[in-house]
Amino acid sequence: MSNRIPRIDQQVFRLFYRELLIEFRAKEQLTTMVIFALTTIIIFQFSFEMRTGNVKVLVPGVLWISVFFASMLSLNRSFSRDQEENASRGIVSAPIDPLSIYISKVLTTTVFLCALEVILVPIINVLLNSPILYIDLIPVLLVGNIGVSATGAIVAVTVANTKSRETLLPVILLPLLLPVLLGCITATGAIIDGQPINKYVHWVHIVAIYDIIFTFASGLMFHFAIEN
Amino acid sequence: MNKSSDGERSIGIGVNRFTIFGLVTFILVLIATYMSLVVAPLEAVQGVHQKIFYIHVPLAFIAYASITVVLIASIAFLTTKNPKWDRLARISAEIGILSTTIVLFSGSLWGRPVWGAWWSWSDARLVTTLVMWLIYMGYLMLRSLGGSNNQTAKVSSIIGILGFINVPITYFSVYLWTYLHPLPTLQSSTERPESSILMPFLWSFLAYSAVIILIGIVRIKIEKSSDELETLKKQNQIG
Amino acid sequence: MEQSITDFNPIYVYVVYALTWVVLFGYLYYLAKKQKSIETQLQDLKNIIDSTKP
Repeated sequence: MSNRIPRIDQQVFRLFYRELLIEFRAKEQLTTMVIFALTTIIIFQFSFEMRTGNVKVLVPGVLWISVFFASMLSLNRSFSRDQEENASRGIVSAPIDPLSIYISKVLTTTVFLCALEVILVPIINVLLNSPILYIDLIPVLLVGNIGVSATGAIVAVTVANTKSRETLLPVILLPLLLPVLLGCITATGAIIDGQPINKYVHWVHIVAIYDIIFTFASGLMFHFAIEN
Repeated sequence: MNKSSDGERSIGIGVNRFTIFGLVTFILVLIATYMSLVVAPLEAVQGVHQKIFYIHVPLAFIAYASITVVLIASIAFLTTKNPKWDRLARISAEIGILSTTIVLFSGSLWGRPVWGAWWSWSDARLVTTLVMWLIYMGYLMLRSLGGSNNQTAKVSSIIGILGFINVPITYFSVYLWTYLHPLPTLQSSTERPESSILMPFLWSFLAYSAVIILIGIVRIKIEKSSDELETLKKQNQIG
Repeated sequence: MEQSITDFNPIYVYVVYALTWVVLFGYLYYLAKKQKSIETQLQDLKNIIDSTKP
């Protein structure tokens, strides 16, 4: 047995690989997220079509709200599964830097959200008859996913030990994610409307800055959240 | 019959100082109200409704100060693990929610006669205050639904810190957003402070800070007394 | 600028001041009562302990 503790990037890779492997075998997270997001879109279509006559104006909101709620599912499942299988104790007592756990969780959630969007965006394009497949959307989706994952990962682990974690997670997470949602929805709207880059790039910057600040702060504090 | 003279002395002096402080606070509130409603000049554009400013703004300062105290106490708790910091954080968060609630409804009641609407999504300060209210409500919910005490204290500290970081970012985001959707805001009306407005404002600030400090003191006393009660109960179940 | 009835109606100001006082002093009153009750419990407990000591 090697005496050397693996470097952080090695730890992150191993944890990340483990998460992907679990998901690949079970296929449950991604499927649940997609179905949930689809149902949300359908509900939006029916609730707003009659009143606005033009659901296309709501597309940015629909997209990001679906992403947000799907991320709740992913985060809840990701942390509760670890707890159910008592894997969390194993992970914490192993010589793994808590920072690696955090980074791997953020990476995993981001990847899942990206996978969700790969499926969701074309579906929105079709179902809501709204052109949304622009390449400029990719950076917006990326910074948004990272923001949701970075804050989501630490809040999820924070509420994991409480009595009603499924209710507390959205209650605490949504206000914290407001800058991300605001920025991404506005930028997505600008892209759909065909506005030039300089009209919305500042939103991408703001969300990117949010991502950096929150990843940094959460990374620093993560070990407090998981130590018992 | 109370044998403990220490207890008698501390309770005795506590009540006296405390009652005096309470009385002073009440007088300050009366002075501040008189200054705001009677002495302060009637503003040209908004008329009498501008006087809500004398409650809205001091309490907004107090609200932001409270969440700063939550931040500091949370950091202190995470680094020193001393439960007194955790207690301070909890009390400040409650005071923060109290003041934020007053800021929100005074802002709304100010907006209605002045702009004709109960709320304005273009007022970055008001919207940020609403978001702040949501964050700290979540914080208090986390505390009450928490599991074991030490763990709750730690995770609450984390949320207290993240919540504080979020406030300026949210403010900036909303402010930038309102650039695109300009509507009347409360901000423009408070831009030119003259000395005649400053004095009533300072009195109000002093008065409401005193009320908040009073609330804080009583809360701390309650915490201390309940801790003492709990310890005494435990000791005598064993002893 | 149109003048509506809300322009000079000071009711909003009164409501804000009244509500603020009710909230702040009401909460203070509630806290004071809670403090009194805990103090009484504490005192009673102390008395019981003292009286059972030899």
